[in-house]
Amino acid sequence: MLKRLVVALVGVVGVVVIALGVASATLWRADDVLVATVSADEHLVVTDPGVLELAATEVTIRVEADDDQPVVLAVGRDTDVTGWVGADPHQRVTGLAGWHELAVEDGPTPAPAEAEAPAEGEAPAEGEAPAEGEAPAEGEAPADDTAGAPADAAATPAPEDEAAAPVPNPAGSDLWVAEASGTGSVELTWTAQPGRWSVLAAGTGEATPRLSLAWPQVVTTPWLVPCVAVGSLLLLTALALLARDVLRGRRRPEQDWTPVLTGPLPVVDADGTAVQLTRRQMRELQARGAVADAGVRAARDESTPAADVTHTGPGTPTAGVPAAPASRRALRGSDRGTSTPPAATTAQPPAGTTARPPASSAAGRPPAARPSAAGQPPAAGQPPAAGQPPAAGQPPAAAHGRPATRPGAPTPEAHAARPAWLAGGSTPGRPGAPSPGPTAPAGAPGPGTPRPSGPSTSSASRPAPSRPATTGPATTGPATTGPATTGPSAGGPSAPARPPGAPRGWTPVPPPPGPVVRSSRGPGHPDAARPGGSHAPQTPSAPGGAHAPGAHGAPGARPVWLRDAPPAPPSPDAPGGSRADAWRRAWGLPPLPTDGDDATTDREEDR
Amino acid sequence: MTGTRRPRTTPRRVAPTALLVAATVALAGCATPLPEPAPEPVGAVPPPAVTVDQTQRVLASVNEVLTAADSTRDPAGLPARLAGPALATRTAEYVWAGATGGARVPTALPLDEQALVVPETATWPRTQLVVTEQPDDLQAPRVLVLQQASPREPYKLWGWARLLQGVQMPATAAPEEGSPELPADAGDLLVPPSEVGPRYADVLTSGEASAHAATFAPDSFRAAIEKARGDTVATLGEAATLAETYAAAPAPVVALATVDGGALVVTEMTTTSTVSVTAPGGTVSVEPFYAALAGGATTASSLSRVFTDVLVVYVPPAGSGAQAQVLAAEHTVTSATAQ
Repeated sequence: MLKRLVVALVGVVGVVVIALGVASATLWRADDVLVATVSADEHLVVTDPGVLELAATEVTIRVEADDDQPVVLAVGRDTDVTGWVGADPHQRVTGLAGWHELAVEDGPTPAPAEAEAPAEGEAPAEGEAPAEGEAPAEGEAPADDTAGAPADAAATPAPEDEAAAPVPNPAGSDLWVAEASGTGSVELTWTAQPGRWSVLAAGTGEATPRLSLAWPQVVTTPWLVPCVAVGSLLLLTALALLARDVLRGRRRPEQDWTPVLTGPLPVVDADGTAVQLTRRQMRELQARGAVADAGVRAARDESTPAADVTHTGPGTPTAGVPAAPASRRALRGSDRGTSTPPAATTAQPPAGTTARPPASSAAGRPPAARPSAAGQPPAAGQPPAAGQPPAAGQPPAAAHGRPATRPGAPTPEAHAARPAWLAGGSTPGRPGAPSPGPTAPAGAPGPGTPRPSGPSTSSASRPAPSRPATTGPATTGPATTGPATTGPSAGGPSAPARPPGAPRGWTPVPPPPGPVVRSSRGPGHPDAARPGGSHAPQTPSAPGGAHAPGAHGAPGARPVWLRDAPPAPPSPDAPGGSRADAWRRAWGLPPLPTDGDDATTDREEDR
Repeated sequence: MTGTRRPRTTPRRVAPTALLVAATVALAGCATPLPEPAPEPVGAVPPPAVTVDQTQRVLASVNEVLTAADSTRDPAGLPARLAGPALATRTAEYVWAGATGGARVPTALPLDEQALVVPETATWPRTQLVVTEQPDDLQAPRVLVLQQASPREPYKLWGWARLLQGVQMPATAAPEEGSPELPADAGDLLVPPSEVGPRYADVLTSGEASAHAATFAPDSFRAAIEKARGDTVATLGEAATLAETYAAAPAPVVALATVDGGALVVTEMTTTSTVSVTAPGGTVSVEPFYAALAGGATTASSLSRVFTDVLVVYVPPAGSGAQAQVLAAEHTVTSATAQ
């Protein structure tokens, strides 16, 4: 509200400014004619030179007198006018006192002789004498006497002056350049000429003249345009702001909905390498999202349907941020994968990849270690032969584990996969752990303690294997440490889930320590590894998977990471299925077992 | 949050600012200063005393007065526009006209100006010269002298003089500019203005014997005076003697500078011509005109005629080598005394 008030205030100011501008051009606009007037106290009024040209080159001079008394108006050179006026009492117009008022000054005081002359003329009258400065002391009689003589001289003109005209009539003098005379009022228009000119206005009758000068003037309205412009600007601004505010108010309800974009989505191509979406693809994706508004948009309030959360949670929301790192890791992972795959492949198809064994210096030991490892699992009683047996080919194990679990519930895959991937430490982000349940069964048996899973389990489980094979410790050490380190990171979040699978799954995870594994494998564990490799168990679920998994062990892991970009290609069944499932879940469709074709189509759609 | 806070702060700043601007605008709109009179500065030299228009008006007015007076030969109305030698001369002419029954008409005074010599002055009296057109009868152009004695008096025709034969008016400044008035004792002239009259009178009196004879170029006026004097002497013979005296006014009426640095000097001179019968008991018959002037006496042993002369003399600047020249003169009997 305050905002609107302020906006309204701005609008009001704009209106006021406009009003001021308009008023300056209308209400307050100067008159086209500047008229200045003065009522004189004397019968003679003279303007100073320059007054006539005060405001314009043309001036209309007007002299008025009450009661139609005679008035005379004359224009002449200032020297002529002042010469004519001489010492007579008069007033000078010196300029403007206001926009409609002339400034007046009294002229030089009349000479005493002249002042007294009329007084003496009247002096014969008894009353007047005492008034005179000189007379009072001497008394009336002498005054009359002394005045008598001059009185005669002055008496003759005095009465005439008093009666006829208090001032001589300037009319008719040769001095004037222009003149006018009349009764009541006289007007004269004077156009400026070079030189100094004055006006003599005389009230030759009883009345004193009123002099008015009127100059036509060019009236400009310099404030009209700027004021109106600025005012309009303010007003329009205010209106615009107000309008925007109102519109916003209307739209507000929709404001709660914000389009959520998933951002770039990594895709893994057939090679298992992550592929960044092209801009075009992203655009298309975006467009899709826009089309499928309801689906893509997420309520701001997180209290909104859990369904959304669940959908978005795994896929989009988290993906948005972690996507990048994930992808990077995925890339790394893929790198590793490429490197590890060998391990995996070696692990599983050790026989085939006998060449690798050379890598491992401790060829002999590994085997020992593995056997032990392999043996342990069983010892541990970890029924899920699939998971633990693969001690050597842990990755595969994980992969297998997933496939196995997938059938039952796709979710487990994620967890299973994560651990392997999360070795980097991203596991925490995948609280998706909840689904560990499924895997748990497999792993749970072994380690009773879920948390220690990472470290403790590893230590627990490893120690055993390592110890048996004294030689192994050194090599295995690293391996275990690998898992151990990963363990911690995963420990927190995924701990519960992993513990079960972790011990074996983790141990296998150490594929990094691959060398050891390889060495062990190389020796001839292949058989042992394979058999124990849980291929058997896996095969059932995914017969071809045994081999494929081996190869795709790494890829298999990626899919888990990429979630969005499942590495379906290799294993149409499992991976494709998982991806499709995820997609379906996201769209709320019932999971359908589909063939590779479907998976590919799904994938395309996802893109 | 920020969206709502910003408007809060800005309006508080904007409102007073806007008000201030509005007030400033409003006040500035009314702040046009009163115009001040800006008269032309007073010139180093006074402006010409009269304009051509004024002169023409004066001349027209003079003409009216003269015409009115001429028609009735009544000099009563003349003082309104005539003064000094002009008034005296015109009055005498009316007498003469009356005495001759209208045979002798007053001097024709054309009042269309040919040239004006206007003084630059802001004081009084003011005197200007007007060179008129030639009259219809091909008489010489007149030089009119108009004078305003005081501010509240009108210009009056102070005198006139006819241009002499063979003279040329010196160049003078245009009437719109005005010619400087020179003091009576101006020293950079061949002859100081105040000395022009007396010296010329001396020349008239003494002729070539005068010390100032060389100062003045020969002129028809002087020649005429001398001739008239000689004729009179010859006519009178032994019976009577002629005594003529020339008395110049102590000061010139006006001295106006010419373009070449000289001056036009206007001065008045009075010529008294007295005829005395030498033979005891002898008398001279007085002409009707003089009789009228002299009060009606028809015979007298002695007759004095007083001529009023108006001289317009060009005085060259000192050291120019030129001579002073009488440009125009009028020689008219204005009074007579018979004894």
